[in-house]
Amino acid sequence: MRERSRGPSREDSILRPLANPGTKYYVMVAIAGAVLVWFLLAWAWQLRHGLIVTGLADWGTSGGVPWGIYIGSFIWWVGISHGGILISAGVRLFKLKVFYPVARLAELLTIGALTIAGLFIIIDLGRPDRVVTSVLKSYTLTFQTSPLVWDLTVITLYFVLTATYMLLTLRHDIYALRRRLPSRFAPLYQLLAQGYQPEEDAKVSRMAWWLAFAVIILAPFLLHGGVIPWLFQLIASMPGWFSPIQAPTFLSIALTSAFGSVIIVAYIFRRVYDWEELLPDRVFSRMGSVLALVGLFFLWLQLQAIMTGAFAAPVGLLTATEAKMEDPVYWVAIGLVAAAVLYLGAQTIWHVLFSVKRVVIVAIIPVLATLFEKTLFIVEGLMHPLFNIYRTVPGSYSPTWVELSSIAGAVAMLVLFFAVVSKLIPIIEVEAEHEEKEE
Amino acid sequence: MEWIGLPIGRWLLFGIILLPVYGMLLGWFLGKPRNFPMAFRGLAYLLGMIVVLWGGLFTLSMLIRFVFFPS
Repeated sequence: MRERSRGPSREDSILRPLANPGTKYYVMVAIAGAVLVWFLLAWAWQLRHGLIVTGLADWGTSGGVPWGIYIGSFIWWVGISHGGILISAGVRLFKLKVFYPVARLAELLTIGALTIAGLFIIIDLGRPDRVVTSVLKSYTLTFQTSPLVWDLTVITLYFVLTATYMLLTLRHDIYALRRRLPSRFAPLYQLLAQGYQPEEDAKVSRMAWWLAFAVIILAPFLLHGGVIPWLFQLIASMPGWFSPIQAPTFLSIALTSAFGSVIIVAYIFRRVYDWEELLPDRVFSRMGSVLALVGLFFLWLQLQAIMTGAFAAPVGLLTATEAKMEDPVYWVAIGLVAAAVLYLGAQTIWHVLFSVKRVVIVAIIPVLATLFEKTLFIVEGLMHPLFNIYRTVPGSYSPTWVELSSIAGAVAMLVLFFAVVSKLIPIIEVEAEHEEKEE
Repeated sequence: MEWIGLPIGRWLLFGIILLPVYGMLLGWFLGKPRNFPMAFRGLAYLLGMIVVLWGGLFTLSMLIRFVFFPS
């Protein structure tokens, strides 16, 4: 068995972020807040003047594409959100004990990333004030045939399942730590642990298991490997999108960006709160290995798409594939993922190559690469439709400062989200029963 | 597109996509240890979060209308 250290107890370590913040914390919040304000100003500019301030344009007639980096970011953030809850569900369902310390961090990443993903849909609209009324008013009709409405439905479901998962599992932790939590937030803790009885733990544990069961089927097979790619793969007039392997491709990209993001977030917390014991090296080593595996899955599906599209494909698919292959951004994305897979694969085989810092640096690479790939996928898909009535008005797309501000603003939002939540609730679960035991 | 006389969205959403959720709810209510108050609490969380999500979105959309599209 592992020898207990003589340093601070596990509880002390878990509670460290809830202490009064220091100067560095305020500096970080100030920087993230400033970036967020910049983004809000950019969005206000867009709302005031319309989508003309973006690089988006009417498809064909204005020579451009109506979807660009906003929708690319939407898919990217949804993808990031998936890995979070999958890690957590995997811990519960398949006893992936090594990932237990990052389970709640991953759940929080899911909630934060999913909220940001939803925001990108709002930002992409010319009249976002109409979104709720227009969706709800015609829901009984549109849900029958519209992949876009299926998408909204399932994202709602996914958000709700994740939040319920967290709310249920938090009750025990709040109760267990009730005497040590900051008293200024007492009303919040009373609300979260309202009616808590220690006898409910067994039932909650079983309910969380059932939630994990639902999530582990929904998230990979029906959401990011289903409804989200169906927004594209069902459109027969877009050869770049119309493919039955779009669903597994989306899933591979989601898992790649998600594992990379969890590694980055976990490392930041480990560094800031000296959580070497709570988030030990082996967590990063295993997550790095899984990232190599899902990255390889991503590369394999890209190879399938290239071979099918470039060998002897119908003219439309051939054109779309050639356009993608001629774009350097695509090869930058592929090259970055390949480099990360090579390094992380090598460190899995030769452990001497492993260091936490290196894994984190390498994890950033595929996270960025997947954003490039997703944006390119959206734009190239729209640029090369099967029909060519718009051939005489070829367009181009490059994001403007308004759109790029949204990327920075979204990251700042996530930073602020973690900065606030980590001051309110324990972001590592109190129960140590799932921890990997070292013989 | 229809299948067995039903629009695709109906059987896709309620017949396939929600299947894991049906399984989960059955597990909550019928699985052991049996604890109906907790199962109902879980259900209340689910429904409450739907209201929070769409209510929040509605508030944001109305705020945008008030500030940018008042007419």
